[in-house]
Parts: sequence; structure tokens; C-alpha cells
Amino acid sequence: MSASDRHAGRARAWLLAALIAVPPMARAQAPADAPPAEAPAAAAAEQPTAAPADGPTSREPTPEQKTAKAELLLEKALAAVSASAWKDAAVWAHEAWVTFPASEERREAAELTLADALLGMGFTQAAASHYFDVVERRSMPQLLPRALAGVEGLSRRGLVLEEDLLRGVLADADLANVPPDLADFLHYQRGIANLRLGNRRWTGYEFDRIDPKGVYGQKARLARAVSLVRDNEPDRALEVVEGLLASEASPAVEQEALLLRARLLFEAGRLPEAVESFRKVGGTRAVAGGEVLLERAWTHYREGKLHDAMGLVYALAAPAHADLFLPESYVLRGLIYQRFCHFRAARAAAADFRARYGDAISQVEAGKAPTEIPVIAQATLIVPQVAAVLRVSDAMREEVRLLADQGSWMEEGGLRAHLVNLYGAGGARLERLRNVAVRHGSEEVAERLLAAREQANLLEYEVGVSIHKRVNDAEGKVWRRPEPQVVPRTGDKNFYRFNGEFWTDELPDMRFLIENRCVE
Amino acid sequence: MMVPAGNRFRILLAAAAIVVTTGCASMRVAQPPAPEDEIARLQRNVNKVRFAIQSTRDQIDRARGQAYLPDLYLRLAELHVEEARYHYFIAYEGQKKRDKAVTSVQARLLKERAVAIYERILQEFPDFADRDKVLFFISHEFRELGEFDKMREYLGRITTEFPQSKYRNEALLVLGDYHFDRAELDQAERFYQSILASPESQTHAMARYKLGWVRINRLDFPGALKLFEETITHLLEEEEEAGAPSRRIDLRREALVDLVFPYTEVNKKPVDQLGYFRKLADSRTTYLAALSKLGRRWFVKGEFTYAGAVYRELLDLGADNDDSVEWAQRLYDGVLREKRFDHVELDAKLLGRVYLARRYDWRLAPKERENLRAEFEAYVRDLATRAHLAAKERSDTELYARVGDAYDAYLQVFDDAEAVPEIRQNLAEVRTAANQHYLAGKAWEAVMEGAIAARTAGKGGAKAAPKPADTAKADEAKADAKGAPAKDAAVAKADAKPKVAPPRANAGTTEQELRDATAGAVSAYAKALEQAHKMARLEQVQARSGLRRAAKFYVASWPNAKDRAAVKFNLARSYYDEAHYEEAAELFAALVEEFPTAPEGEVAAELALDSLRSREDYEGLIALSKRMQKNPRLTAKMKADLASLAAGAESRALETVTLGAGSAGEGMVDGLMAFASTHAGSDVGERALVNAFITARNSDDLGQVIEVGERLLREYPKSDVAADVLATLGKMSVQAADFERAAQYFDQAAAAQKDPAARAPTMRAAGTLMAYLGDGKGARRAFAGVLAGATSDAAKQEAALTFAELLELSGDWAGSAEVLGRARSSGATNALLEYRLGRALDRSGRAREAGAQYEKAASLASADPDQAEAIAAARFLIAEGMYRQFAAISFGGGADAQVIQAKFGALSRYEAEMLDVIGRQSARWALAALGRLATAYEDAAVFLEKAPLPPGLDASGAERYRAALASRAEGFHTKAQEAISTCAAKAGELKVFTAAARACLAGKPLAGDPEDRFDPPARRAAPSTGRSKELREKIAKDTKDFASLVELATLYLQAGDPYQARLVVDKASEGGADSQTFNLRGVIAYRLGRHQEAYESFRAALDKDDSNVRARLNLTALYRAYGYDRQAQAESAKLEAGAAGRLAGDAAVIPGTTEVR
Repeated sequence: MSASDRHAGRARAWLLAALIAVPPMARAQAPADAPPAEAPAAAAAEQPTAAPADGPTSREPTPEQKTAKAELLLEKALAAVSASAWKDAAVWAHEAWVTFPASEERREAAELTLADALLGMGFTQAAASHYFDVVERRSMPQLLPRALAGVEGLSRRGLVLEEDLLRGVLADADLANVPPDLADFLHYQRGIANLRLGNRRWTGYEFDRIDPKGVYGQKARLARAVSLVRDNEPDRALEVVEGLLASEASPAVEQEALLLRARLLFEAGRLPEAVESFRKVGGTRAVAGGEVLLERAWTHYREGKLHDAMGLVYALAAPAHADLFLPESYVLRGLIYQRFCHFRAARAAAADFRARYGDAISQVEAGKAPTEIPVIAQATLIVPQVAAVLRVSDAMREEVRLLADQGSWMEEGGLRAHLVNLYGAGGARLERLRNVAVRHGSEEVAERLLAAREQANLLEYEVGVSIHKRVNDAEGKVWRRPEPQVVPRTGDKNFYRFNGEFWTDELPDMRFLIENRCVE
Repeated sequence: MMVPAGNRFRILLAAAAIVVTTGCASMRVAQPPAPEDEIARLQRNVNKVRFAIQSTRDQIDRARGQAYLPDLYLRLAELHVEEARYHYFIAYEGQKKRDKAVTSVQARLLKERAVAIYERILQEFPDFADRDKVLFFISHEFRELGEFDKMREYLGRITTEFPQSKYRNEALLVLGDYHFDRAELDQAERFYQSILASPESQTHAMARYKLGWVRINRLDFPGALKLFEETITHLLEEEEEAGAPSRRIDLRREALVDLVFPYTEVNKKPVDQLGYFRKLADSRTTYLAALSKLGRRWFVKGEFTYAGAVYRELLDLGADNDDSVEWAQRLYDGVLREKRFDHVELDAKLLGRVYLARRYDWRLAPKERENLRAEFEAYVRDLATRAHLAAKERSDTELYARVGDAYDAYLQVFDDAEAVPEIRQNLAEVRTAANQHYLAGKAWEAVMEGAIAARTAGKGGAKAAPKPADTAKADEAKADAKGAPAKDAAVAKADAKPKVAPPRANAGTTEQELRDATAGAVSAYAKALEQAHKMARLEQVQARSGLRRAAKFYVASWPNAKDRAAVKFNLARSYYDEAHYEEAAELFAALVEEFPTAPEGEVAAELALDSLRSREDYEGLIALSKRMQKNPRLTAKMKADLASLAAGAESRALETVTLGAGSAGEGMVDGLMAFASTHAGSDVGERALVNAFITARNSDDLGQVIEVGERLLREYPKSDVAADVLATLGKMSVQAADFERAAQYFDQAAAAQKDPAARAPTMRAAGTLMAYLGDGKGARRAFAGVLAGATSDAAKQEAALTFAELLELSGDWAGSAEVLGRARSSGATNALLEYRLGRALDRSGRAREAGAQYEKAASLASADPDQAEAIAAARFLIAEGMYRQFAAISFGGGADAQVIQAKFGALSRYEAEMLDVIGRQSARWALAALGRLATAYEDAAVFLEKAPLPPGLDASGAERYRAALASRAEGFHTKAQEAISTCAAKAGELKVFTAAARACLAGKPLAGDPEDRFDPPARRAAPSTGRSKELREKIAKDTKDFASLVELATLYLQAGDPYQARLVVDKASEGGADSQTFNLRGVIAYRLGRHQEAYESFRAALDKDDSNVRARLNLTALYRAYGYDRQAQAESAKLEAGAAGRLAGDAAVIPGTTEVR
């Protein structure tokens, strides 16, 4: 059970106890207190949160009456949450929230209940907004753990923008009443925020307070390793990563650590070890499995295992990797063919590159915005920074549709109006962020594409030159033609002729038999 | 549940600290849960603690006299204190936490009971180990009860009675705080100092902190600053020593925040205030708390620069909270007050960020959001435009760049503001002023697109009036822009909407502005591309496409605009820079056509041609150059330049075609020939043919070389290279064994050659070939030229002798005499020349003149073997006259005795001459001399044998006389035989093939001419068809085809043309003659009467291949012809039977000796 689950369990138990304490009469009367069901959404949007829907009248209840009513609604909402009756819970919690006077501490309990109910209905972004609101207000420290648990849970699902996690809300949250696992979450986010600011001491201060065995402790170690890499201290970074891998890291962190380890080993020239590490990486949230394959292929190429490198390059042609953007794979293919003196095939790799991306490059050259070029737009979607924003933005769009699909029940108490307002503002923000991220991401992709084009051009040139010179290796020794590999009729390995059929489990181990045509 | 006393104490201490520190700083207190639950919980706790109290009492009763009895009392007192605390909180919750100063009767009573129990311990257990603790607890309870004098009394007892107690410093701290709260600073300081004077403890940090506040109250800010710093640093060190996070972080935070005040008093001009606080802060939260106070402090002090730096940091750290708006406002106000825009880009970004955080905040009402938008839009715009004006005033490029970033920040946040068109315009201007050309291009393009969109929307030409956030403020804003000082920050804030400097006086979207923006985009992108290497790839690509887009729009929209030439130039340049030369050339050419006199026109002309040159399209370049030159509006200089460029291009074009020819294989010169056709009659056309000729020459394809060479000579007869071409053709014809053609070419080459020194060898080659081919007239003309051109006697002699030999080869002795005579008359002479001239004269029937020449030759002396042989020959031939005189003396011409005397006198002289010849180291002439001596001796013997008897002799006398003569005659016979034997022996030794040798070998004296005389073989035209033609064509393709050469020589020989056969076989010998070639060479020499040479060749043939039957047959025949019978026998023995018969009629076998006369 995760920290947030445990915490949610405790919260439910507490709520149940509160429900038992509610007088039966109050429960029976609760529906009658609900606000008019048909409150116009637009009007509600004008006054979303500042005050209850009812304006001041001659019979306006006293603050005490309001509080009593709100308490009643809150108890009903809590009971509904316990019963997973999310709609009821949402309506009552919302009404309680807007009914409580602004100075009433219990108002936050109502908001938190509303967040839980919205989360239960699939309105993750609205829930996140309310969780953040509770954290930010900090008026009821005992509620902070629940709100943080909500944020943390959504963060783990990638449904909260990093920008929101790193801004002051979490940084300023009080740790006094926060259970250790959530404190780890907070310390981690604060540490990351400090890393972004470039303050290693503060980062250390936060990371030192995290349980090193927990997920956030592991992530903190990983973040430390990355920062060491940025500080140009690869040996120390590798040390940290090795330590992390020696412990029992969570699968996701382990994958990240293995990838980082592989890259560090590659840079250190420890290629066989790098390959072994790459081999264990199936992919991370930011780096798809296909991209890891390509990195491994480059490593094989650098260590001179060209058959293995070419096998992986061909594995990248599998449908499983069709959505990846790997223009460099064509260059690598060409380089490998060149090393084998298959000059026509090497040139064909450059030609294939042009066939695949030439149109996109022409459009870039013609001045078309990269975002409007299909190949680039598609590739932009998998740029890590863009993907993170899109994940949240897509959730937001989906939830806006979900909101539109809700029936009249949501009008009750002005809940729909509130959500329309919330999703209007949040949606606009995310659309803006989405546009910015996509624009920057597409420019990054376009730049990468142009760089690959340059590489392809150079490859063609090199191939042209290579045709006229002896094939030597970098040290000037003559490139010896290895013995051609003979496919045995029998043996402990089975050989199959490649017929364009890809098996996912075979992709990481594909090798490519190719004759070396270089002269000795 | 049992709670350790120590833990309880800490809880109490913490609660005490809350109360004590309220005057100095605030400390967080955990909030209680909801009241309903809390009171019930507290009441439950009361019940529990009461139960514990009763249990303790019961235990005390049971434990009388036990050592732990005082501990039980102590526990009992603490339980009372605990119950008192529950009652306090019940009262606190009961009045809804409105005030912490709650009166609880139960709490007071319980505390008093507790104090009584503590005092009983002191009285009844004087030896109790924890008396100091009891004293401290009593003092604490008195403090809580407000009985401070009693509290001081008990605390004082701790300090005096227990100086080593761990409660001593705690007691001093409480005492110090007591006096501090009463503003009794001296007393307070005394107590705090007492703590600091003791060894370092947990209490020291608090003591320093408190003492710091004492200093502040005494206005000793440096002292306070030092103490706060020490508080923080000691805590940091403590944490580092512990190796774990400190639990006392709140004190550090408080110390840092409280440090702000003395810091701003001590550091009036701080250098690195942010670094200072960052270093002391343990976390971002602490840092921000301190900065928040620091910013406020500076702002209050009117230090807006420092305040601004702090607020920037606060906002930049993303600390977005309720204070952010205020910080942003203060930042804005401060900048306006200071009028310093050094950070305008950051300020704009930060202010925009504060607004953005609220723009999408669902918790804010739309009206509130709108107000914030209006406020912040005006802030950012105001800052940026004011900074813009400042940059203009100072011409500050760096500030322009910052302003550009500020405008960018504005446009990113307020992209729907009404001022956007103006800000875009401003942005474009500042980017241009900042020399940020790429960004300027983007900005101008944005202005352009905005204007186009506005025009499309029906606003074309209509200016979008600048609308600041508040129209009423626009005038004020304009006034500000003209230099009016900004209002006081407070006033500006009161206005809610700040004044905004107008972006520019005439901002909008007029046609003129659209045009300027479009031209600006073109110009900016063009400048950016001049530094393309500094740009990212995408930037380069986008700059080019942007430039083209703008330029095309410009050209299409304003066909008569004055800067159209520049725009078109940049458009063409963009293609040129991207190596799209075809488009570039076209556009540049069009530009030249349209604007021939514009500055861009001249450069465009060059670039147009350079575009084609880059593509190596020289033909296109030349054509374009010529086309442009026809433009009458072009200046003379431009035309000259174009012509020069075209000329250079022609050369480059020729180079390109020539280089192509070098690797074109079959038909390699086709390109050059075609080029020559295109440029017929021009220098470059001639050079093309020359290059084609040189290229073809390297191919060994005579046909192609002749074709190219003759075309060159035909089309450019006065070409400087004509002579060389002809000479080359001649040489190649020789190589191809086409001697007639070679002779013609050499002849023509010699005629074309202007340099006499160079002409001589050509003429000589021509002459030589003509001589061989029987063209004596031509040969004489050629050698006449050679002789005329010879600059030294030696050269003349050598040329004359060579030519004479050629003439003699075909029996033209008269010609030889003429050549040699001409050479001699020119002054060149030597023994050989004189001798050869004499011999030629002799052979042509001019014996008298010949004798004179022999005399001249004989009179010379030389050690040179050839010269020596010539002298020997001359002397021999001169002596031939003596011999004839000797032979002519016969009886009957006078008195016999006198006749005899005359005869033998002549013999004696002749003998002396011959001995002289023999002594001259010439085998050939020594044999002749021996042979001729033998003849003379025989003649003398016969003379004696036929001598008449003197008159008057009797028979016996006659007999004796006859016997005496016979005896002398016999002596001459013997001498004759000896001479013949010697001659034959020498001939056998030296293998000499002359008439003299043959005579000696035959045992006969030399009767006639010492040298064989041959009639030169009749010339018969060599066949030029059939196999001969095939061979010649083959050889023309491959001049190293030696087998074909040998075969051709044989064919010539068979056809009766040993002359050409000799030329061919000499050519065949260049590759290293084999046995067959040597044999053929011998046969030809034999046919030409050069038997000595024939012998050498046959011998060489056999040396090369001992099994060469033809050579052996030939050598055998030659031996037989000259009487070398033994040698002939020996060679014959090596031949297989029937060989001679089988090879009869073979052209490579000499027919025998019948031809020898």
C-alpha cells in the first residue's frame, strides 16, 4: 500500500466516525437544504467561489446558521465519499464549501472532500486544483497530509504539471504534521525546485531528509547523479547510480538509473558495460524503448560490433517503433554500411532519410511553421517536456468533455458552474502551456532534423570519398576482412531469414549478417 | 501510559518558549483539532491523569521510607501539572480559541498543588539528586502562575546552588528573558552573557539570539548582526558536527529573518546582499522569508535599487503567494523611482509571470482578473517603453537588447492587448537597434503579418490608434514619453493604472508602415544571414524563408518602391547563400536588367555570374555575360568587368571540359572538340583544340591525334603551336611507322618553326625520312636547311656526314659529294669529311678532285678512331696512284736497268705507304693494304720473271741472270703470299667483310677495289593495302606493337623496299630487339650492301637465340660469300638437314652470295 493509499484509508475511517456522530434528523433533512438545481452556469461563473449562490436577503441566515448548515452538508458529503457515491459527495461537499463562512476552518475540510469526490468521478484536474488550494491555504494543518496525498497521487500518475509541483505551494507547505512518506514527497519536490534554481546546498538539505529507501529517496539519488553529470563529475555520478542500483530501487527508478548508468559508461568508453546496462532498459517515461535501442546501436557501433548495431537499427523499423522520431538511425545505418564497404547501401540510407524526411525539411525551408508539418508535429508529441504537458493537457481536454456530458444533477448547488469556471481557467492555461511547449518542442525537433540532414549529407560525402580510398581504421591499420559468418545447418542456435516480420521479444537481440566487402 | 520525565519537560519547555518569545519573534504552534473532538479528548485525558494521580498517591503511601519516594513525589507533581494543562486547553477550546490568555481556576489550583509537592520534596529530601530539576520546575510553575519574583528566587537558587547543573543556563535564559521583557537590558544582557561565558551548550544559540535583540534595542546594529550571524553559523556547525539535520531550524530561520533589520542598518551599500542571505539560509523557504522582510525594509528606507534586486529574486524564485502582487508593484514602483532599466527584461518577465499566475486562477473573480490584467499590462508596457526611450537617449545597444526581451515578455503574456501592434513595432525597432538581426527579422515579420491581417480584415490603411490601458491616461503617458519625470511611486500606485509611455508617435498599420516592416524584415534577415555561422540551423532556414516571404510580398505589393532594388538583391542573395545558384543567377540577372545603375546592380551582376560559376555552368555564364553586356544602360566599366568575367569563365569552362576529357576514356576529346566548335575562331577555341590535341596525343591513337592536329592547323594555321603540333604529328607518325606522313609533318613543322635551333632537328628528321623514302630532292632541301641552321663546325660536319651517308645508301654519290662539299666550303672540315668527300667525288667519277680531298684528309692527324680510319683510307687511296705508277712501269719504256730501278724504287715507296696504312689501327684498311701489297709483290715477281735479258749476255750468263731474277721473283711471290696469309689471318680474327678480306681469304692478292661496290636496290613502292594497311592501322593504335612492326618490316622487305623496311625494323628494335628482329635487321643490311652490319646483326640474333635457324643460315651464307669457309662449315654443321631448302624464298633469309659482285 502506498503512502497516499494508507493515508486515504485513515481519512475514510475518520470520516466514517464523523458520519456516525451526525444526528439522524440532520441526515434526513439534508436534501432539502440543497441549492436550486437550475442555477445558470454563466451566472455562477461570475461568482464561482467568493460566496454561496444565494445573495443577501432579508431572511439571510446568521453565520452560525450558515455554519450549521454547512456542517450538515459536509457530514453528508463525507458519508457519500465513504460509500463512493461521488456525485452526491461532490454536490454536498461543494455546497458545504461555499456555505461555510470564509473564516471557518472547516471550510477546507469541505473543499478537501470536494476534491476527493471530484477525483472519484474522474475530474482529476479539478481535484488537483482543490488539493493545491488546501495546501496553499495552510489554515488547517491536520488537513495538509490528505491534500498532499491527493497531489502526490496525481503527480505519480503524471497528471500534475511539474511547474505546479515546483512552485511555492509545496515549497512553503508545513511539514509539522505530515507523515514521513508525504514529507519525502515534499522534500523531493523542494529539492528538485532548488536544483532548478542551482542551489545545491538547499537541495542537499531537502534530499538529506528523505528516507533513502523510499521511492522519493531513490529519485533524489537519481537527481543527485544527474546534477553531478551536469557538474561534469561523471565518476561521482556513476558512483551514486551504482549505489542506487545496488539497493532495491523501484522498477521505474531502476530503469532511469540503468539508462543513466549506460550513458555514463558510454561516455567513459566502457562500452561493453554500457551495452549490458542499455540491454536492461526497456524504456522510461521520457525515453522510449526504441530510443534506447538506438543508443545501444551507437554503442555497438563505437565498440566495433557492427552486426549487432545494424541488427538494432533494423529492429527500429518494427511497427512497435513506428511512432518514434529517430532520423539519426538512417545516418547510423549508412555509417555501418560504409564500414562494410557497401557503398551503394550506404548511399541508399541517405536516400531513405530523404525519402522519409525530405518533404518535411523542404517544408521547413519553405518557411512553414514546424508545428504545421505533420512529421515534425508527430515527433513533437514524444519530446519529453512536451509529452509531460500534453499528458496533463489531454486530461484537461478529456475532463472538459466529461463535464459537458454530465446531467442536470450537477446544476445542484452551482457545482457545474464552479467546474465550468475552473475548467475554463485551467483549460485556457493548459492550452497556452501546450502551445508554448509544442512550439518549442517542434523547433527542437526541426533543429534535430536539420542536424540529421547535415549528417546525412556528410555521410554521402564520406561514402563518396571512401570509394576511392583504402578502408583503414582510425589508427591507420588496414581493416581486415573478417571471416564471413557461415550459417550452420544445425546447432544450438536457430537462424531465420529475415522476411520483414518483427517479434517484439526479439527486437533487442537482433543481429544483422552482412558481408564485409572492404579490401584487405 | 508512562511518559519519561525528560520528554514531558521538553514539552513544557516548548510551551514556555512560546510565551517567552512572543515579544521577539513568532513561533509556530500546532493547531488543535476541531473543538468538539478536542474537548472530549481533553476530558478523557483529565480522567486518565486523575487516575494516575490517585495511583501515585497510593504508591507513595505504600513506599514510605523507600529511596525512590522523592521520585514518586516528583511524578505526582508532574501529573498535577499535566492535569492543569488539560484544564487550560479545555478552557481555551471552550472560548473558541479567541484568546490564549484563558483563566482556568482548575489549572491554577492544580499548579499550586504541584508547587507545594515540589517544595515538600526540597524540604523532606535534602539529598535528593534532582533538586536542581525540582527548583527549575517550581520556577516554571511560578512563571506560569505569574508570580515572577518567586520564579526569580528559585531560578537564582539554581544558579548559585547548582553552578554545574544543566538547568543553570536554562535558568539564566529565563532570567534574561524576564528582564528583556521588562526592557531591563543591562540585567538581561548580564544573564545572557553568563550563558555565553560557559562552555558551549544547547542554550547558547538562544542566548546569542536573545542578546542580538538586546543589541538591537540598544541600536548597536553591528553587534546585533554579529550575534545573529553567530547564532546561525553555530547552529550550522552543530548540524554538521552531528551529521544530521538540526531540530532547531526554527531558531535559525528566526535569526535570519531578524538579522535583516541590523543588516540594512550596517550595510548601507551592500555588495552582494542576495549571496549573503543565500549563504546563511538553510533552505529556500528560510531564504524567501528573510528576503521578504529585506525587500520591505529597503523599500521603506527608500533604497529602491536594493529593494528591486530583492523583489526580483523573490519573484524569480517562483515564490508566488499572496504577497507576489505587492512585491511586483513595489518592484515596478522602485524601478520608476530610480529610472534604472538595467533589468527591464527580467522585470517584464517577472511581472508578466505574476499576472499569468492569476490570469488562470479559478479562485479569482473575472473582474478581479481583469483588473489585474489592466494593471500588469500597463506595468510591463510602461517599463518596456520607458526603457526603450532610455536606450534611445543613450544609444545603448545592450539596453536595446534587454528592451527587446521585455517586449517579447509582454507579447507572450498580453498577446491580445490592444497595444500589441505598437509593441510589435517597438520590438522590431529595438531588435534592429540592438543588432539582433534574426530576432529583428522575426519581429518585423510579425509586424508585417499583423498589418496584413488587419488589412485583410478590412482595416487596410486605417491606423489602429494606440490605446493604453486607460485612454484618459494616454496623454499623460505621452507626456511621460517626452521626458516628463515619472510620478511618485505612491501616487502612481494610487492611480491604479500606471502611466504608459507611448511606443512611438505614429504606430499603427498604415501602408507605409507595412511597407517599412516588410523591407525591415528583408533587411534584418539579410544581415542575420551574413553571420549565418553563428545561427542555429533552424534559425538559418527560417531566416531565409522569412526573407523570401517578405521580399516576394514586397516586390508584389509595391512595384515602384524606391528600395525595391535592395529587396530584390537580398532575395536573390538568399538563394545564392543557400547554394541555389540557378534561382540566384536568374534573380540577380533580372535585378541587373531592371536596376543596371543601382549600387545593387553592379554587385548583382557579379553575383549572377558567380552563381553560374559556382555551378560550373560556364557556358551559361558566358551567355549571361554577353546578354548583360548588351544592356545599353550599363556603364562602360560594368561592361568591361562583365567581359573580363566572361573571359575568365571561358578559361574556366575550357579547364572544366579539359579536366573532363582527362577521364572520359573513349571519345575523350569529343567535349573539347565540341567546345572548340562552339568557340570557333577564338583564342579559347584554339586552346580547346590544343588541349584536345595534347589529350589525344597521350592516348596513342594516331588517327585521333591527326584528326585533332589537322583540324587545329586548318582552323588556326597561324597558331603558335602549329610547329609543335606538326612535329608531334611527325613523331607520332614515326611511332606508327607511317614514315611518309611523318616526313611531311616534319617538313611542315620545320617550315612553321620560327626558332632555328628548334627547327634543325625537325628538318633533320624530315630529311632523314625523305632520304630513306627516296625523296632525294626533299632530303637535300631539308639538310640544306639543317646545315644552314647549324651554328658550329662540328654540327655542320655531323649533319653533312649523316646526310651524305643517307644519300650514299641509295647510290647518290653525286648528292653526297654536293652535301659534303657544301659543308666543307662553309669552313667545317676534318679528316673524315675530307675523306668522305673524296670518296663521293671518286665514286661519282671525279677522281682528280677526289685525290685532292684524300690528300687533305691524309694531311690531318687525329686520335679519334673514326678520323684515324679516314686518314688510313685516304692514305691508302692516295697510294693507289703510286701503285698504278708502279704497275705501269714495264720494260720497253727505256733502258732496262733504269726500268728495273724505277720499278723497284716505286715498289719500295708504295710498300712504305702501305706499311704506314697498316700501322694506322684500321683493320679494314690494313687488310686492304696487305691485299694490295700482295698484288704489288706478285706484280714485281712477274715483272722480274718477264724481264728481258740484257743485251750481250751469253747463255750461261743469261741463265744465271734468269736464275737471279727468278730467285728475286720467288722472294716477291713469297712476300705476296705472306701478305695474303697475314691478311686472311687478320680477317678471320676480326671478321671483316670487305673485298680485301674476301681476296685474302681466297688466297689471292687484292686486285680491284678494296671495298665492295653495290648497286643500290631498286625502290619499289611499298604496298599500302591489304595486310600492310591492317598492320599500319594496328600500329597507329598501338605504337608498341613490336610484333606488328616486325611483320610490317618483313612485308616491306618482301615488296623490295628495304629502305622503309629498315626504318620499320629500327622502330621495332626500340622495344628491345629479339633474335628475329636482329636477323631481319641483318637481312636488310645485307640487301643494302652493308655486310659488316649484316654480320653484326646475325651474330646478335644468334646470341639472343642460338636456335634461330634463319639467322644461322644467313650467317653461314655470309661466311661462305666472303670465304670464311671454316666458320661457314661450323655454322652449317649446327643446322638441321634440309633447313635451307625449307626456308628458300623466305624474306628473312638472304638469297646467297650471288648478289655480291
